[in-house]
Amino acid sequence: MSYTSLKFLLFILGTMILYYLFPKKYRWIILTISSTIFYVLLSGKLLIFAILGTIISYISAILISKHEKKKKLILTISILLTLSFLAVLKYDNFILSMINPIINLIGISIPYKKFLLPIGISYYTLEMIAYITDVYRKKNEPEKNILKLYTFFIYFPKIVEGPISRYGDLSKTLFAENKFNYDNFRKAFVLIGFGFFKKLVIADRAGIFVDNFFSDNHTGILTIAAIILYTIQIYCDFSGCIDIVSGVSELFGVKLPDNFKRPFFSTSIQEFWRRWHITLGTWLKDYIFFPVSLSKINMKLNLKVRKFKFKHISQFIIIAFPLFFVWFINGLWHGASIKYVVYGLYYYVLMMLGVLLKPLLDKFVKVLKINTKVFSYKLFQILRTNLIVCFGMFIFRCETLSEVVTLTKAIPSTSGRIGLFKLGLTGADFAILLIGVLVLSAIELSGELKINVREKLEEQNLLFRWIVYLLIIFTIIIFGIYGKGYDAKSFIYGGF
Amino acid sequence: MKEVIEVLNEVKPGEDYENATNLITDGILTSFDIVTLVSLLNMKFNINISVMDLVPENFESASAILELVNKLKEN
Repeated sequence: MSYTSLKFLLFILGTMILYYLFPKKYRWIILTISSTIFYVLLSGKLLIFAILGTIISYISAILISKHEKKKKLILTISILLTLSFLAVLKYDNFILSMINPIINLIGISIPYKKFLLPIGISYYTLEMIAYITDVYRKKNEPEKNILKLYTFFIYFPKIVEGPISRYGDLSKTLFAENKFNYDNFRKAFVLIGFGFFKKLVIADRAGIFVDNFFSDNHTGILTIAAIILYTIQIYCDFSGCIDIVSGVSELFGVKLPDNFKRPFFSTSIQEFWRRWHITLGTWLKDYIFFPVSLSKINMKLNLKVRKFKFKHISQFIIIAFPLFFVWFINGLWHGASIKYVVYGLYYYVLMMLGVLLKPLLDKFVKVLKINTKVFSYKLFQILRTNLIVCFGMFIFRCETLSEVVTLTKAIPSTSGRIGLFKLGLTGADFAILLIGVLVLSAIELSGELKINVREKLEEQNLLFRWIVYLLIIFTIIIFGIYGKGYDAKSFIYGGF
Repeated sequence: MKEVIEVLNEVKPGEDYENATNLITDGILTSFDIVTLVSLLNMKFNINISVMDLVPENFESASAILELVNKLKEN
């Protein structure tokens, strides 16, 4: 049951009716039941891993709160246990591919196995670790009702693609006595509509070109078009899904955390990663970057380096060590292959070069008297960031690293060149894509200028509002990519 | 307070630390800056700022940082 299917819309409708018919105090139980049904429909018996994870989180959090002296040990064991499911189910072959060459030397070989991956395991595992750690850090009290904890981990709007939520934040609205509010309902509807627009009108249309390009082994100048279209596709696919699920969640009065903040307006890659997949970034910051940064080994290293009196080298070292783990884990989280590790390390190297070369760049700017406060400089920074991000997406999309190298080398090649319109999209499709991207850019630019389009729309008169609502519906129906034999593509980030 | 502002200027010069009250919210201090700041504060005041202390409220202003330093010095 995809988030863009009619079945899902009916499922929401049914859940909503029951939710608001139920007594306020127990409304969250409807979400427990509907989330369980949703999960079983998608992953069947594999729900057992989410249940086991919930039990581990529940018991460990209570033990941590009761045993101050042993809490570090309990935390370590519980995190290892929680991670073990993910390690076996998702990373078994990746780990074996590294172990087997070594044990082959003594004549042993462990056979490779492919397990079915429970839906959302990459997301709820991070949420479980965050929950246990937050109790350890005394940020949250342990939850006494295991059913509430279970509901939080498998809450259906966020189970497939996130956003990765924190128990302390989401529980405030998830278990509140939410009342039906027509204004919120309308706002939620607009958000869902906007998500469908991004997914069905833009992402899935761009995806036709991208899939044809990569599956038919095309090369040449069209690679640049494929890279740009894939970047548009992945952004509209992922952020579109987040809009849909955030809107769906708002129908129940439950506020999911923001996952995107107009990332393509970023002036640096650091900023881009603060605005793209925000919940993964903040998770990595809180549970990897800060603990590793403040670890004894890193602090000692910093003390030693500071003696050399090179300030920026010291700043580089103190960040280099923890950031390596952040980007290594970021890459690995996306997929169990070397390609994803390289994808993560691509950003790591660029960020570290940025920190290392900053004094030199500052000097360069000063000598050439470049005004860094003007619009043109900001535009240059935005374009530079987008270029770096597009190449990162290219690594992400290619099947292997050798494909990245081969395609990059062949960009100037003219052999086997085909026309732009031979890859599944007509001139009209490109026109729709262009208009779609322009509409999206205009809405995002409004956000940059601190104008909340959804709020502004709600201030308008009834007639105008309804014209906009109908425009959204008909745009999706007329220009969305679907039809006989075509199933709306499953969301890219659902695969992680 | 003067010493805290000195450290802040060492981490990221050119900001109005005496009056700023939203150093984290406004993005003036990034997570990279926080790590350098913590290491300098640990050294200068002979304290041990832990991960548990890394909440935005403790770093929003020079006075909040001073409060954190004083609290850890007492412990």
